[in-house]
Amino acid sequence: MGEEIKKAVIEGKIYEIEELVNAALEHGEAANDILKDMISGMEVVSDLFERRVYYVPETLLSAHAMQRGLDIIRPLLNYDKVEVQGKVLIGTVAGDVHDIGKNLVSMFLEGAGFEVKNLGRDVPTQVFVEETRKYKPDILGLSAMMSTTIVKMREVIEALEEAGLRDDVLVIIGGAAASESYAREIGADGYASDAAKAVKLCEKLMKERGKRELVKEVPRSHAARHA
Amino acid sequence: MNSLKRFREAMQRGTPDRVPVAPMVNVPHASRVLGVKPWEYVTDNKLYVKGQLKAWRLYGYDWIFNHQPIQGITREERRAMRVENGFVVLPTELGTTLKIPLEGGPAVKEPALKSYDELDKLEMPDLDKPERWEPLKALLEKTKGEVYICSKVPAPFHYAAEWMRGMENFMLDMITQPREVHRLLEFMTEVAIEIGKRQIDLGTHGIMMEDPSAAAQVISPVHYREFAYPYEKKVCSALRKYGGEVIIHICGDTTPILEDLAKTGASCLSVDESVDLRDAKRRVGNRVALFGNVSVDTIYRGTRAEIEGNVEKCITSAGSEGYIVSSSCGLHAGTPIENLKVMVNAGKKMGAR
Ligand SMILES: [Zn+2]
Repeated sequence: MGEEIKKAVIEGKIYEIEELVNAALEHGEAANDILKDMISGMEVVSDLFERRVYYVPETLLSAHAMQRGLDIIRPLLNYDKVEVQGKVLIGTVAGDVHDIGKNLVSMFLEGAGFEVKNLGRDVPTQVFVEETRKYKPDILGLSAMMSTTIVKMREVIEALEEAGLRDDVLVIIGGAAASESYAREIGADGYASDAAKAVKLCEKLMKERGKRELVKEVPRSHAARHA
Repeated sequence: MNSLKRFREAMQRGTPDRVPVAPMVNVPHASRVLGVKPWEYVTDNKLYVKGQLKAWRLYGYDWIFNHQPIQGITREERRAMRVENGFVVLPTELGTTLKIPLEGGPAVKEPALKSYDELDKLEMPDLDKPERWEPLKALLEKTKGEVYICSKVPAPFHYAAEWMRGMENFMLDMITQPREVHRLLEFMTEVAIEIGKRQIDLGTHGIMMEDPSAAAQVISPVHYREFAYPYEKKVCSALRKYGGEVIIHICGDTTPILEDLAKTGASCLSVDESVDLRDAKRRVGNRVALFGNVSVDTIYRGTRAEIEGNVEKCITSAGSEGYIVSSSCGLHAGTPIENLKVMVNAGKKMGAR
């Protein structure tokens, strides 16, 4: 059953997946295991996308299949046992109505086991700040497709600094208008040129973040011992 | 040789007195030159013509890219225009509603079709309204045969995807309901051919068809050949038969589909920066002229030396026969005027025989 569900995600079987997931549940399979199967399917998709075997249509179809499966099992998931890789807040900056690349990133991240909140497109800077405060993401992903709207990325980073939130969140950027050098220029923590690379970037950042926490924690515990 | 003759010579794969220079000036850039907001420029036929002429005189390039997608704005479209939370919202007669940020270029707000059931009710936009053709007529009149006027026709694939269904829907439709997609593409092909024929009747010198949604990073060569190529070919061959010459542009690395592009019936291929001009020349240079591909990133943020170096590299790779030096894609909004001057002047100097 697990292999079938994985395959349905890889092949983007948007019409069959609901039936497969329901059958698996009736068989007594745990929602968490079904989630794992779907995630391993999306890992394959993300690899195919990276190797230019899959393009945008095929990848979107798989992501939609996974979404449909996820809709069924979401209420049944035992969240204590889900290994959430991290929380990501994502959106396209104000003045920019492009959505598709950012949605792909969002679906890929979910596929890789991240918890994702997608704010949609044309998101005002203040909304990014408020949502960062409320949702407390590990990573904030900003997308811009137009060279007129890319300046908003800098604006978001500055607004996070003003709100005192910049140190709590890693900021990554993407979209046709963004670049590695622009990320450095505005002090973002990373840039990815496509959805598969965005997942790798988030995974890498989460690992580094773990290390960074350790670096902070160790001196703190030392200090505590000598207090 | 004036610009018109020079450009025509290159389009026919000849060798003019120098390589024509023709950057892909778009709405954000022309409005910047004119000093008005992009939405003002694109929704007012008179301002549009003024901006085009001002940019042409300022830079002295060899073409004018008449870039309005379904040509001039009609009175009805202008009347339906409104401002909504800092955006200019413009319903068009193709059924698509555009959204133009006060500071940026236009984007699609509402695609025209919620489902394919609505396709049967879809009508060709009224092409008899005189306002549609005011800009082209004025450009031809004011430039008196000095410069090559190249008018845009909406590429079937791109407009079906972006304007009619929305990108995400359309990408899925290609797999889940290919038959409906083909029906929509047939309709968009009719629209493009009809618009192109009117432009040719009025005396446009050339036609530009940009198909960015068919970009090489977006769809596979297999999907390109099934959904984009046949309709590009229909439009190009129909317009060629009608006496027009077409330049076709697809963004991204089109290296794997160059031969297909050369078979569309287009007279000239406009290629993005990842395409090697020397390789393209060798593979398709005997069928089509080439157009490109000075990096728009370099024009946007490069130094004088970097821009000049890029222009020189393009001209050396492509040679002076059947070649037009241009930007690799539409210019980035915010491209400094000084930088584009450097690009155009370098092209003129280095492309001279
Ligand atoms: Zn392009």
